[in-house]
Amino acid sequence: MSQITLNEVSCTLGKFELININAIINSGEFFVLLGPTGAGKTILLEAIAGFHTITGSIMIGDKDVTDLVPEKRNIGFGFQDYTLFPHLTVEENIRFGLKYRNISSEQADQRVRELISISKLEGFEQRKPDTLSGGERQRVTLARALVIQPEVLLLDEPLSALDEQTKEVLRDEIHRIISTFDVTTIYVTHDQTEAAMLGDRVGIMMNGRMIQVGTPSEIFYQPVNEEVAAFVGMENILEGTVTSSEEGITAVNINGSTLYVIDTYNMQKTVRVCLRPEDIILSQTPVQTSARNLIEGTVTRLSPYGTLIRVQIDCGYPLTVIISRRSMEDLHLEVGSVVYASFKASAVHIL
Amino acid sequence: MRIRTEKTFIIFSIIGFILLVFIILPLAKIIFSHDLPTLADTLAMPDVRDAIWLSIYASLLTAVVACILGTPLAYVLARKNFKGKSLVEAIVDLPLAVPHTVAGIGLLMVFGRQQMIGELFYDNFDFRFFGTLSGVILAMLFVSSPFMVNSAREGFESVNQRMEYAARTLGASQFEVFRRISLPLARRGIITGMILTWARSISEFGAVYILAYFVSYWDILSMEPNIAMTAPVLIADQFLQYGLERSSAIAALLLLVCLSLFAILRYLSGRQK
Repeated sequence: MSQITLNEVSCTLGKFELININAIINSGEFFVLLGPTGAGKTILLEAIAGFHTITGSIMIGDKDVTDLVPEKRNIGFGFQDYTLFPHLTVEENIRFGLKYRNISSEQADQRVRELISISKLEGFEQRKPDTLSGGERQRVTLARALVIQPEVLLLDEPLSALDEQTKEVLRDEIHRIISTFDVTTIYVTHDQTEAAMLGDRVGIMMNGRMIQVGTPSEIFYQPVNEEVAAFVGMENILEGTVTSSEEGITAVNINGSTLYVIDTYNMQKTVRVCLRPEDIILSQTPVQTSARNLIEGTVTRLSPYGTLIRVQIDCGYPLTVIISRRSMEDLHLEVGSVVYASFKASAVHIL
Repeated sequence: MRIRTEKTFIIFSIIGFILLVFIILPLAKIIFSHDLPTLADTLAMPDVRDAIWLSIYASLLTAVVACILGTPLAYVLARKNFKGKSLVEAIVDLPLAVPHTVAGIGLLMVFGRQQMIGELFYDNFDFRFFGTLSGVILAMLFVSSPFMVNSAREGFESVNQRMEYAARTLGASQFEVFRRISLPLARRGIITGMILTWARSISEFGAVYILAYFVSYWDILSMEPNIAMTAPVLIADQFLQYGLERSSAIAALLLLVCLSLFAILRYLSGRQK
């Protein structure tokens, strides 16, 4: 278990590049690297593992590994596509890395058995990888990476190729297995749910840069800019002018309507505010709630959003709201309906 | 309806059949033009036996040499991008475009007794390439090496590079990764390369004809030095001296031997899937 320090890490690889990545991943932390496809997440992971030449420096613990070959870095790596060795059995796969450790064969046997047990792979020892399901293969991949007792574990989208049900089960499994090892983990994903559920902290990567690092609630409720806000699902991003700011409450005028915000404010006149669509409540009448913002609007569009419904309303400015199908029926919503939207001042964030 | 959708494939199959017949017919004609006693008599001739054995022996050695020299290059080409890579690829394929007699002349001008490398070996080790088994292997290697390199390269390219990355993170050095992961997984490509090299080598005439018409070699069967021609050279020699009848009997024998070996090898490599 070691801290990972990335200092001005830059790297160019064909059309992909990393630009001045700075980050400290704390010892024992589960750090999620979140970003859209092509953001450079995988390259950063591979750079930490030692597969690309970089400028800047990478420290694992207090050791500078920038110029160290991959096999000397003591890193466990689980790759996106299955990289189990197809000509070896499950047990041989897990044992592979122990050949390069100075341990006796009894110790090796014991560690392999331990990993097989923790990963619930009993009975699969003599199977070849191509006879396993996607979930089983990922468990073997994880066991193979952890058996060498790495200082750092890097996982590249381990769940991306799985169906929804397996994904959920395995997400919890991965968390359980990793937490028994107390290893510093960087987990790459483009899935916000995974990031929110797994990450002690989350780093947002876009276009080769680390844009924001923070706890999941900081990332999902206080994105640093419009791009991050849009990526993490802040569907309402509105521009307005500040009319007053007293006792921590800022009033923002948007197209003639006033919106109240509880957030730090740096004295700009023109601001952008953002608001998650699931933080807005719709009602047929102007109900009394603790929410400071209440505004009348007209439904302009209803569209399915998975099992939920995305409602677009015009209340002087456009708002997107996500509600359940049940709520839509209870509210008798259709295009043209008049509704009242309410949301807390603390749910609004100034960008 | 079913017939309409299959029409293209029926027509294409007919065209394909013409090509297949074109390949099979001459070969079948050679084999079936001779009765068994004639073939047995031909096989009883020591120079024929020596020639067929020498061809098999030399081409197998060539396949081994090609594997040793070609596999590392195939791995580099499969894994690395570098300046001038397309030039290297062109050089690998070059023997396919060079007439084989030209290849033989070129080899002779480098490995001949009084030429560049040939002189080096002759002066220092009293070793000759011209007219020896090593000359035959040089000629065969030159014309068949593209098959070895390209097949092995395809084998290595079919191995996911991330799998090699995974092995590296587990502690394996580059060579260990090659030995334990890439080589076993690319085995099919390498074996295919060796079979193609062997098949191309056993049929080689032009370059061998220039470099080693009469071949003096140490025969591992009789454990004695011997002089013989390779089978394709012997067939040409007999054709020029005695005509079609005699040469086609030897051709039939060589063909039978090659086809059986080819069938066995294909069967064996197919079973490794």
